[in-house]
Amino acid sequence: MTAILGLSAFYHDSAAVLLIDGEIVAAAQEERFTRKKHDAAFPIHAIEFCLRRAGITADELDHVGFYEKPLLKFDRLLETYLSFAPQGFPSFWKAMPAWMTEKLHLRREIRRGLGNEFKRRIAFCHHHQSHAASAFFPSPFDQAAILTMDGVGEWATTTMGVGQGNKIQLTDEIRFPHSLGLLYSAFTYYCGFRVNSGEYKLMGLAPYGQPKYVDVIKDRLLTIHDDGSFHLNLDYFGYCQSLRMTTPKFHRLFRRPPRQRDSAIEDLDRDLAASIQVVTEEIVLRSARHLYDKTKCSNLCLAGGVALNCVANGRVLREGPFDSIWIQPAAGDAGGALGVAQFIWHQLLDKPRQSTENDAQRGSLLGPESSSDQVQSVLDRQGAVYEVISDPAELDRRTAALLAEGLVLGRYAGRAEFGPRALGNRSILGDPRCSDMQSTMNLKIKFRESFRPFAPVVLLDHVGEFFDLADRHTSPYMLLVCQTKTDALPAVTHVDGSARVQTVDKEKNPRFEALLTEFYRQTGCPVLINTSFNVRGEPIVGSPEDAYRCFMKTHMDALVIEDCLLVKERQAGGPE
Amino acid sequence: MATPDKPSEKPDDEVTESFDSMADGSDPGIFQEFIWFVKYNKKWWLTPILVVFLLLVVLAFLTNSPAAPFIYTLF
Repeated sequence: MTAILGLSAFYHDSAAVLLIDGEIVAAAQEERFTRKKHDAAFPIHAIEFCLRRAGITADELDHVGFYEKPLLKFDRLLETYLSFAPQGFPSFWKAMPAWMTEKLHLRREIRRGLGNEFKRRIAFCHHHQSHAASAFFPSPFDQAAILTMDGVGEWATTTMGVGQGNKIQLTDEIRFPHSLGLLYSAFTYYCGFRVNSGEYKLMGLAPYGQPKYVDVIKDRLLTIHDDGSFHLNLDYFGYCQSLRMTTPKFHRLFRRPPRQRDSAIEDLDRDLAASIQVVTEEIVLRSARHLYDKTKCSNLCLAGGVALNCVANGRVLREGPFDSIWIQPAAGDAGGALGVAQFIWHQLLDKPRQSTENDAQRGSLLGPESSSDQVQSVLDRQGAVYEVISDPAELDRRTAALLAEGLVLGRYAGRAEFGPRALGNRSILGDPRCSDMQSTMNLKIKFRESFRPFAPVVLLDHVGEFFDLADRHTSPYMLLVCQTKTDALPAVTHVDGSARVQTVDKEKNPRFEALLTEFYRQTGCPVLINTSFNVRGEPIVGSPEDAYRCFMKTHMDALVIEDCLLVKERQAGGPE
Repeated sequence: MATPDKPSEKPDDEVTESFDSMADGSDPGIFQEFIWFVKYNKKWWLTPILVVFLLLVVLAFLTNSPAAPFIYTLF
């Protein structure tokens, strides 16, 4: 038996992944345990979970890998600060203590985190190698082109390459400070959203605006080349030398300072969101075309934070030259933990890889789960009123009936998802046919901006009836946006007629597929609204306690935790 | 697009040993790592900067230590 632990930590979305003989046994993000969104702390809880799941201890691990090379990153920081000195001194001063005490001593930190039980050497992989490995190795392809794009790792911000069999090779890169991820984050910041987590909001805002500023952005802020490479005009961006993403020159260009988070969203924000989305899609598409010309592969694998831009992914699928694309569901830094573990197994240990028709990500249902006894014990402690329905078919029937009545229902079932998207097991579900469901769920349950759309989850066999997704394409990880074909689903149709669709099939999530099938049987509609089980600013629920707490403090109508059904009106207390 | 930098040469042990047997070795330590880093990434020009930087860090620690009065007389 060979056990490999992959880790990502200290920047954002720290996570741990455990491979046993190449199989992904467990994967989890630290935020789900600590309840701090995008927690960057050493993933001690995630590691504990992974080891417990496999029934091993840290001294039984054969290899431990970290998802990036700290010294190379330190070099980038040092060279960047030197280039901009003395301008970047405050930023340098702020960054250095953490580097001196923690980040430059990662081996010590990792060993300490493993209780000093792991005695072998720790492997460090390039940041984008980790992304590329996480994109290709779990994919269903034997050969594929690889494109990774994010903010920045060590130096690279975009890489291209090829994966074949059990090896990946990265051949091209764009280096810091020229970064598509940071460009998008600069607009995220300027439009008043939080960098590293608000990018999704900016993407959701884009259809409300007009892409009026595309030419300004392309004339003044960056130059895009035919091969998708680009060059940012650093006069407009402050991330190299300051603690801000944009400079006063950027603010003068758009004739306004950055929007404050509590102030109203203006037309400028909407139009900028639309404009930067168009520019992003153009860069991604050009890069994909260049990569195809270079590799002639018919498959594409994507990872890195930019791969979470599902609107751009949808365009690559529709308009790009590739027949199939596969996107790592944990495309952000959490997925780096998976990447480094698989890189060690396939690339460094030279273990064979067998691609299968279904990917090796196992529906990304790789996190913790709770037994019925554990759930009942939690609910009893909380004084909850609940019903145990041991027969899964009966539970699905009751659940589907509640959904069909127009109730909003939380679902906590089976193993948690690895990655930022809830794919049905830690989800809030609703009936997409109700026109007021979007605002109800946004304002009363998620406590978030009313403009933000919800995603539809659809039975794979019916996807073509409702969504403009070709038959051979699936979207099991909710990472593709396509047009809806019907007006019957107002709650999941964005203002531009698009939807971020998730397809469900028996292979990847049989229990969720059964629920959706039952809803279809009762209503004739094979689609549900699926949004993550959390409220604004909190990570997705990680335990039955979290689920119950979230249920009680929102206006959610019902909750299914494993085989326990709770209805709000029978509970004592509740939200104001 | 640029081609990723190639290191000037591989570490000696990497040439002869497999990854699995390398994993049984001991950790290199931060100074050894810096030397490897400078050597394999061909960043010799960073050496004086790193040395000065290191001295500043040492100084920062010393000025907070009981040795501070002696440091003061030197600088």
